[in-house]
Amino acid sequence: MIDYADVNVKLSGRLQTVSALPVIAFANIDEAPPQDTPYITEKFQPATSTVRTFGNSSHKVMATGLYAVTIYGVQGVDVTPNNTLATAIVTAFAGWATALTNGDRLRIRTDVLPTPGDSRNTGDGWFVTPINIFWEVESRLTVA
Amino acid sequence: MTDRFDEELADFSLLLDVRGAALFVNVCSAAKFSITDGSPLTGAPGQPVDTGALKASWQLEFESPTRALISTDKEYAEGIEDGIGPHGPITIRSPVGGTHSVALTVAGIDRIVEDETLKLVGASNA
Repeated sequence: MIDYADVNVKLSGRLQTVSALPVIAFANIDEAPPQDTPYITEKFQPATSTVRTFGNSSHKVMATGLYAVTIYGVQGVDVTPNNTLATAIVTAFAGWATALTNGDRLRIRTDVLPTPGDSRNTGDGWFVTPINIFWEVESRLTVA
Repeated sequence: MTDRFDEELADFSLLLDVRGAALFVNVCSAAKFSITDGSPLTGAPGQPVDTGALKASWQLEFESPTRALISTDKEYAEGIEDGIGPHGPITIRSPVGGTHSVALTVAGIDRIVEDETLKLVGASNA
């Protein structure tokens, strides 16, 4: 059984190891960030869950998904802060792996690398840079 | 004997070409469907629907036998993909679809190829 809540916690924890990280606007908090104050958002999106049995005596489930981080920088200033932070976030996640509380292994996928998307102005004071981070977890299959 | 082997080899080569072309077309079609309607293979949720204009705007064009383009002309498609609106993060209120369908389709393209290959092999062996 994949512990998605723990996967989310571990990914968020990893994000918060990045130095000089702006405040995170969590999705469950109705927040209107003040202008001129950079912030970031995170989105945890499980995608697939597949039973992998071929050639494997102990049945396992492979789950994959997306952890999307968006940097909201200030529009009209140097692009460097966004780019520097995006690079730091990608570096923190690239090739990273950790154990979940239940012993499963969470890995950042290496076949599709963490990638910053196109930076752009929103037209409302923000200069945004989206980052897509693809993860995978292999877990033992347990049938209740 | 040699002539017959050459003919069989040529037939086999032609069969591979036909199957390869069919696989390419099917994979591209499945990738577009994953983006527009979602797919359990990739985990993409598909496009959210209000008027249906965004979903209907996605096009699949074959630029050459080995190159295809899946695109939309809607400027707000990028914002829907990344979940970014003009005032900050957006909340999808559509009962279907969601964000990041393109990214998840790209990340899951291997599974689309695997699935379409199995369909093709299964169909030709039936």
